[in-house]
Amino acid sequence: MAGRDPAALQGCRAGIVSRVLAVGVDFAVVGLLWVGCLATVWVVGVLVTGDLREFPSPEGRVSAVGTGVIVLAYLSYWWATTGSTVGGQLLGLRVVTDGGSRLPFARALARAAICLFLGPVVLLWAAVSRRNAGLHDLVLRTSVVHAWGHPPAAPRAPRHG
Amino acid sequence: MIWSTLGRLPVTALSLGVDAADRVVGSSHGLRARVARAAEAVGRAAIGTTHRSVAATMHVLPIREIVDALPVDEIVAKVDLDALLGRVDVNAMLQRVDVAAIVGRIDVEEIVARVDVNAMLERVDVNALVARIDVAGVVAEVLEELDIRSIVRESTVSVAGQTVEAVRTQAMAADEIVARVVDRLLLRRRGRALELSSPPGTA
Repeated sequence: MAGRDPAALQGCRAGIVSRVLAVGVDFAVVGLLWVGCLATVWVVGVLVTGDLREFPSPEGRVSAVGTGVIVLAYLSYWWATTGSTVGGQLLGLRVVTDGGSRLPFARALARAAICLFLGPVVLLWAAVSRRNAGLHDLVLRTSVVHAWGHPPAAPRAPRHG
Repeated sequence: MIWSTLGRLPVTALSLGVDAADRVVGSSHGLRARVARAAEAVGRAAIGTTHRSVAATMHVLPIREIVDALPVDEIVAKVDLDALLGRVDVNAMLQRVDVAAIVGRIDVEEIVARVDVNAMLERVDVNALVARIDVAGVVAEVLEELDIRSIVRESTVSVAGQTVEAVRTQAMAADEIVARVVDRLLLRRRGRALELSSPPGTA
């Protein structure tokens, strides 16, 4: 499997395979966070009531809302701070603006919302895009780049005018 | 009484003669020098006679009996050995000793060949020897010296880092393959625009 030198691809847009793998890791992390939330609720309930009740199994709607909140908080926080989620750090990926700067929180939240409501379908567009851009990248003018050992993206440049 | 007085007469006369001679000698300087030369000549003659006669006398004297009669223990007891040893320059003595020559004369291989190692080992109580060793302490000390924890930590981090890097590299290669296949299906002639307008972190 001969390819270009990985060092030469640092700072370049990542392809569909790297991004899908990162999303898979993030999916697992969100699942663990959801289970952690349920475990916290269970422990607090046991401590308050004193009864060793069963582990909570919320309804589908509650689970959807709970995981949705976790996804929004998780993705927007990491994209707006370091630019990399846990999956992104593992695969050496970082989300930046098309200009290469760090995402503002509002844009990171909007990106997370698109991912949450439209699902992985938006990501598949990266396979056919000439810029390896998903639909959410095209809408919000963001890019996912290889960044092994690169310093975090610089703070967003101040707007002039 | 008379006989005893008569018996002393020669001695008295001799002493009177000596006194008189002394007075005469003392009164004349030239005479004193002559007497001295005469006495010297007599002395030389006497010494020559003595030299010749000593060798003969040594054969006659009972040397062994004389030596046996000497109080050797008393003489030795009077010797101050500390003072004697204090006067000895040990360093000068040692400098004269050629240690290399002495060592060179020793046949070490022959000495070693004479040693019966098996007999020596049979006399060693290995169990008692091992019982005296603090094995737990020795192991703890060795582990502390080796710092196993840091070795495991470093090797684990190294292996994990290599694994992650391998996953990233493989994913990159897979990205390129997928992109090439899709571009070929879409009949694209130009490659993908993967570079940003400005590198990350510089904007």
